[in-house]
Amino acid sequence: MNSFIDARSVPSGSAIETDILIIGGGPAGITLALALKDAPVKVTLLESGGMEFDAATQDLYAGPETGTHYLPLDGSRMRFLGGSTNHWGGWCRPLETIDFEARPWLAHSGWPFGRDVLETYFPRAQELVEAGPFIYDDAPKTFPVSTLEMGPGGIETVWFQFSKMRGSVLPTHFGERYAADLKQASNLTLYTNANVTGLRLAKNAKSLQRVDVATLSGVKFSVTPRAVVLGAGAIENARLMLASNDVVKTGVGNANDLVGRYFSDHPIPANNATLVAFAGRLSPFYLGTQHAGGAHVRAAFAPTQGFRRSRHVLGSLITVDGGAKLDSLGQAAVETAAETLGVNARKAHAYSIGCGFEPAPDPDRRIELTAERDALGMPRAKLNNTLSDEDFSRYRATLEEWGRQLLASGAGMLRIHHATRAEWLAGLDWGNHHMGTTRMHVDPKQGVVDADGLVHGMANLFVAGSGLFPTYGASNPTMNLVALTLRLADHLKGIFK
Amino acid sequence: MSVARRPLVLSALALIGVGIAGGIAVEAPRLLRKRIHSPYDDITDQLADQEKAAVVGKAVLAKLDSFDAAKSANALRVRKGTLLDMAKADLAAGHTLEANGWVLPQSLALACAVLADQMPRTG
Repeated sequence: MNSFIDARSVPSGSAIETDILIIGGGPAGITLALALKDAPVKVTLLESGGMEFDAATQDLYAGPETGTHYLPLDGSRMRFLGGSTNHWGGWCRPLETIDFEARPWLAHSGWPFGRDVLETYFPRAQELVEAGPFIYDDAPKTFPVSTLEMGPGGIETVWFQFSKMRGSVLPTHFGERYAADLKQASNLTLYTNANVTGLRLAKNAKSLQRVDVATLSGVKFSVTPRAVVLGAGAIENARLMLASNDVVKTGVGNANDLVGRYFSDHPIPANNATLVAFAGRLSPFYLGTQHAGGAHVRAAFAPTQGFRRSRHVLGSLITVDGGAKLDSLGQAAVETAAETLGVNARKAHAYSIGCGFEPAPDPDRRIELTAERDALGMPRAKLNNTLSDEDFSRYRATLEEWGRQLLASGAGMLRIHHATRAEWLAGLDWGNHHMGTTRMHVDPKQGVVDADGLVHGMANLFVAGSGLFPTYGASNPTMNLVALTLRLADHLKGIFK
Repeated sequence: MSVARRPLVLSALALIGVGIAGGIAVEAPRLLRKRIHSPYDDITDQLADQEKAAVVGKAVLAKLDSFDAAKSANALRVRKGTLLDMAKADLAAGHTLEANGWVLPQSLALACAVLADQMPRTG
């Protein structure tokens, strides 16, 4: 029964029936298919690509962008089985409690549930991303490590873990890693090279009746599901919903003009500060991935949740990127500060600092459609990207506190490199962490989907992935979206039991 | 016995010589540091290396729209304690200033700025 089927071999005009249709074979889609493998349901998964990269398929992702410079839309994600895990860096870190909280000082913030709900799914998510034992900030209790002692303040050492623990392939590419497991799922049929070209609604627009599928070779067929889960990534999910506008002009699930809005990623301003550690070299755990406690780990710095709440700053994960040389001002500043404070800085060592930080939710940072069509006749996605001065100033406030704390504790000092918007934007990179666009909220006027990922106003259309994140945190999304998808799997099992 | 004593004495003298030379090498920069005198010596004399502090002070001044050395010095004078006390209190209270991005206790940054502000008159 189970098989991988190349959609190019499906006779045109075929109509396939299934219980649950998963659109997209990335980390969300594969996680969901694996989680449903023992459920009494027939599952179909449509993957646009094959098992390997294909330029023509990848080109379906191309699209223009406006506003703050961003990455090319066809370079920021991967369109074959495994999705964007195929170019994933493997960084893992669970979201923090504050990331789920509605904060009065942060517009549009808050998840419909707290971290405790997702915590249930972290252990299994951790297994799926193959990041080893769930250690993270318990690292100092798990293996011997000397962290930078910074005394009381708003910044603390935190820990990443890395996918994956197996062999020489880093990290876990979900397609390659789980293809065999998917093939063993007797209730699953997976179609490769199968592109969804339309989400067809019932006339009353309250349920999804049919999904149109096309291949680049010209085959066209349809799938009639009882329920559909969009798991094609934050940009593509929004594109499909907006483009499917034959019944409702504004698109599927877009009665409140929210689909595609609140897109986000983590800005990465490289070399944004210089850290001087007065006592000399930092532990190698700060400088790169180390193997300890049965996991690949790396230490970083981050604002404490208390500091974030009291000073109204958002999340950031601050990394030590390598050594740095001090200019004459830097040397003068270090010596003057150390001598005044009575600290021995003769062994002082300087480091270049990078980070990924969390921007505030912004409805104008959004995915829209263009008039230009791709090879399948679908309107291409367009990104309007934004990054406010306040986003930069919030991260800068974190660095200012770190500089204060380092001096107060005698641990070191900090130079913040950027002061103006132009300085922050010069050389700014992004994390390829697509979030938002189909945000969760209990109120249909504030979210595209409800707390279970069900599109508001629809009976059988769900969305999975980091597109659901209403606020983003600074943590890398993959492990968190896998946990969220496992929760959706439980919900679907409850419906189809 | 007298033959054996001579190399011993020479060795001891050599060791003392090396010690003195080392001491000079270590201490000379400090002893030779230039002092910049101004009406604010009570503040700026607390900066151990005034040349380096002036470099920092110039960077502080570059970021300030206006600067009045007398006012800044007086503001520091009315606070009790040494520059070290003031710097520690500033850090505890979150009062910092930047020198081209280097985060400094406000009092230290202002003391450096006072010093740098006096530089043209000392040349």
